[in-house]
Order: sequence, then C-alpha cells, then structure tokens
Amino acid sequence: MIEYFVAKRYMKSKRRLNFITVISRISVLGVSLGVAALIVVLSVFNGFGDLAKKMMLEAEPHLIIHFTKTPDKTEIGNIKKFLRDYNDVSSCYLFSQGKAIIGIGKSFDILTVTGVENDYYFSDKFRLKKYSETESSAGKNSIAISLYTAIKLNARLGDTLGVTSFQNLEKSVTTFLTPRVIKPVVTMIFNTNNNRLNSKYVYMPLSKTKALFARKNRLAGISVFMKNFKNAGKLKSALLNKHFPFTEITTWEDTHKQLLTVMRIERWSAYLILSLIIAIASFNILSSLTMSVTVKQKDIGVMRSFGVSRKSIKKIFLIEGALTGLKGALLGFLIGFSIYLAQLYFHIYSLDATKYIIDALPVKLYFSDVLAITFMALFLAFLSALYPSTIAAKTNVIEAIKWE
Amino acid sequence: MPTILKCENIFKTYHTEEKIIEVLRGVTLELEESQTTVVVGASGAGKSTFLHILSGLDEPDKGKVFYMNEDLLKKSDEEISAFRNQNIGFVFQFHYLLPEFTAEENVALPMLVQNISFSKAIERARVLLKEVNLEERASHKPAELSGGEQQRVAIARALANNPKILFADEPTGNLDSDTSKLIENLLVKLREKYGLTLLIVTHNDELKKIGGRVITMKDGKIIESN
Repeated sequence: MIEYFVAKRYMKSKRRLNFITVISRISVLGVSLGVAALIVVLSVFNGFGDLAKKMMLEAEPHLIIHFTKTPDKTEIGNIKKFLRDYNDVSSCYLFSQGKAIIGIGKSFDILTVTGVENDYYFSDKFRLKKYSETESSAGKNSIAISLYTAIKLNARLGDTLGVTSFQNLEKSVTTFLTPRVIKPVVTMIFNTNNNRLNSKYVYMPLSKTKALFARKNRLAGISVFMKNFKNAGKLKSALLNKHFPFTEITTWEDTHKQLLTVMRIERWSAYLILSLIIAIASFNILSSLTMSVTVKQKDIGVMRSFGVSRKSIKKIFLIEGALTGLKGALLGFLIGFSIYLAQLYFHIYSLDATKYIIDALPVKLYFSDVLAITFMALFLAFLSALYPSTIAAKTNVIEAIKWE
Repeated sequence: MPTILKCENIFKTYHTEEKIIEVLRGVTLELEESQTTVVVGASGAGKSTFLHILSGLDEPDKGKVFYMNEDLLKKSDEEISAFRNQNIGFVFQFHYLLPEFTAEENVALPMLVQNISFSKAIERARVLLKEVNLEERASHKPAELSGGEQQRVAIARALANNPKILFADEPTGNLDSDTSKLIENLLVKLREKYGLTLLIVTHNDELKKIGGRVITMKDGKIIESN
C-alpha cells in the first residue's frame, strides 16, 4: 500500500531537526502527556471506585429477593434450589427485617434488626467483619451489634440487651398491654467499613426475630452473595425470567444507583477534560502536517503525475497524522503504565494508614480504558490531519511541478 | 501505425489578475503508436501546457483528448490517475525524485500504486536501474546522485509500469551538454527497446535530431509539422 509506505517514510524523515520536526515532536509529546495523564487519573478513579464498592459490599448482599407477600415453603424451596444451582451464587439466606428499639440500662437507640437464617448466622459464611466475639451459651438468643452501637449504648460482649420492635410497640398502644421485649445476649461486635451498616443495623438469628415481627413480616426476603458481584445483574435477569411469584429483586447496583451514577459521571468528566490535552496537542499535528503539505507540494505533484489519485494523497497525510497520534499514544501509554505499575507495586504515593483505611492511593487499570484512551488519541490525531490532507489532495499538479 | 493519442481543437486560457492569456488556440494532433514527436517552440508557445493536457494532468477549456478512442476528459480522478499510472511515463526538466526515498524506491513507487508487492517492485526497479546503468547507485538517495544520475533514475521511474507513451518535458534542460547527450542517447535506446511512443517538448535543437516528427508551436498553435 503506497499510502502507508510514503506516510511512514515521511514520519521517519522527520528525524532531521527543523521547524516542522520540532512542532511534530511537540505534538507527539503533547499527545503522550495527555494519554499518560488519562491512564493515571482513570486508574486512580478505578482504584477508588473499586475500594468504594468493596467497602459497600463487604457485608451487604449483592442481590436481594424481596417478598411482597410471604410465600409458602414450596415457593421458598424453589427459589433456594434455583439459587443453589446457579453457578455464580456463593451463598444465600432468608432474612427478616424491621425497626426496633434496642437498649441497655438508660441507653437506647432505634436500629434496624435483621434476622438472619440460623444456619447462615452461625456459619463461617456470615460476612460481618468481627471486631470481637465470645463463646457464649446464649445460642439462638444472641445478637451481633456494631462497635459503633456498642460504644453508643455502652454495651459489651456478654451484656443482655432489651429489644422490642415498632410493631410490638404499636400493638401495646392499641391493646394496653406491655410490649413484648426479647433479651438477646451480645455475642459478637462487628466493625465493617460500611458506616451505614455500622450505625443502623444489628443482626440476630432469624428464629429469634419471630417474636419481634408480625406473622406477615416474619420473612422479608432472601439475601444473595455472589462469587463475582459484577454478575448480579445477570442473576437478576435470570430470576425475572423465572417469574417467581410475589418477589421483587434489587441488586447492589439498584441500591446504590445514585452513587454509582455520580462515580460514572465523574469518570467520564475526567476522561473528557483530560482529552482536551490531547486535543490541544492535536493542533500541533495540524500545524506540522499543514507545513509538511506546503513543503511537499512538488512531491505531491510528481506522485499525481505517476498515477497517485487525490484520494490516495489524502490518505498519505491522514495516515501520517494517525501515526503521529499512535506514536504519542504508545509513548504516553508507556509513561502512564509505568506510573501505574510503580504505584501498584511500590506505592510511590502512600497514605497515612492511621488516618485513612488504605495505606496508598489505590489504582486499577482496565483494558477497556486503555482502548478508549488510544481511540481518543487516534481519533483526535485523525481529525487534525483532515484539513492538511484535504489541502494536499487539492494540490494543483501543474503549479506543483512547474520548473522555476 | 494506429493512432494511440489524439486531441481535437484544444483551447486553454489562463486568467491572471491583470490579463487573460490564451495558451492554446485550437490545437489538433494525432500521435501514432511507437512514433517519436518532438515539439519545439519559443518560451510561452504553449508546449508544456499541451503536454500536460495530452497526458491528462490538466484539462482544456475546450476540445477533446482520446487515448485509443477513449475520451480522457470523461474519466474521474481515480480513473485518470489509473490511466496515467498504467499507460504514461513522465520525464521532467528537473528530476523530481522524492528526496526521502532511495533511487530504487523512487523507481518502485509507481508500481506500488498498482498494489504490486514491495519486493517485486524493488526487483523490477533494479532491472530498470540496470538499464540506465545505475544498478550500483540503487540504494542511494537523490541528494547523493549527480544531476545526470538523478535524471536517469527519473527515466527509469517513468518506465516502471511499461508505459505505452513517454512524455518528456525539457528532459535535458537542466543538464550540461555531455550529460544531455547521454540522456538523449538513453531515450533513443529505450524507445527502440520498448517500442515507446515518445513525445518530447524541448528548446534543445539537438533533440530534433532524435528522429520522428518535429512540430513547431507558436502562440498556442501548431505552425509547422513535418
């Protein structure tokens, strides 16, 4: 292909230093700077995004099947069988949920009590990050509270708490009876990185919460954890296709939709803003190529005389522009990727672990980001080569080869 | 011999800010296959413009140009470019070699337009450079060659795709007399070998002796043809 052959040689010939080569090198450097900045910034965004998701999903279910009406055992069995057979599901449990007043001595707080299916509650699968735990004879009469709640209520392991639900309180008002209070023993104090969980939730075995919630609210749904949380959407689709009755399904992405949208907008804004660096560098590609077209008028005329069409002349300069962009993109990738690796393995930008939950700026690079950045560099380089290549294609052959 | 190239009643006018210049005023000519035609005339007679129009590099304001009964003026840019690439060779007053490419690459370029593989194109380029006694200089860049050598490379390039017609616009105009003689002899040799239809535009009276028709142009018209 003559177009590629000529364009490549024109690029090579720019090794000799003159004004055009200086401008051309500045454009390569500009593109590489933009690409490197994009790689580093997007990898930091990804790093923080992943950290945020990890923190969010440390103890929160990846998918919840809400019961709009308490199903019978057969229906529950069908759903659980489906989940057991689904390859990507790592665990699931039935749960109940409701607001309750929890107190000890004169301290009390209004919290959400989550009843967790007994087998799950007492197994190693229970995901709460334990701060401290005690061997207790309390058995099913136990409660797991967060460190935050423990400090707020001044409760310790082994203490007995008083718990009564809003439903019980409501019932006592209408029946003039003392509300039913259960007295579970604190057997676990957890401390997750999810402040929402820490400040608002306590956990109990499901069988124990029966005394708290009315019959119709005794089963709120099924919480599901997956091997790969990113596949929650697929599981949701699969469940919806099964049309299990009286169920509503929410994934972690549905729950945190707003936050995820903000994070996505933030990433795209950074991508577009940093692409401006490449856009500015592309103006230099435009300048150097325009000058190159002017200098090479005679070459263009001669090529036209031996049969190179206008279209091919245009292609030569488009390819030259794209090659400049590619060169800048490759250089920028090397710089950006080196910084990324240095941060990933050597923590060149570290953080004070006593103040933050991480000891270094988190980074993560996705192949799709590299592709998007390379595409942007090539696209802008191509755009900036459009004008000079069009000028080249319009060269007047007779004027170009006129001997003076 | 059959007619290979024919033009009828060609008119060409250039407009400048100050005046209108009528460069060609009704030129009609037929070139027979393997015939040599030398076009002579004073500066401004319209010789080069006439050559450009005959070769499809330029378009007349009025008139027709036929290559083997095919109307060249009806062709698109892609078609006329392909026509030039396959049927026409050019030698200009100045060599116009591309400075970034070696002699053999310059010769190979017209072949690459036809998507011939690079290795095959270079192979043929070396054969052509041997024809013009420059095989030793194949890998040299134009700047490393003498004026005569540069013009010989340009002739080799003009023959790259076995053209039917070779147009030469003042091919010796930029050379000393010895080198001019060398180029003249080379053109004769190649014309004989490849059966080329040769059209030379020149000031050089020596080139009239090359043989074939001599056409004299004046003020945009053919005034004499033998």
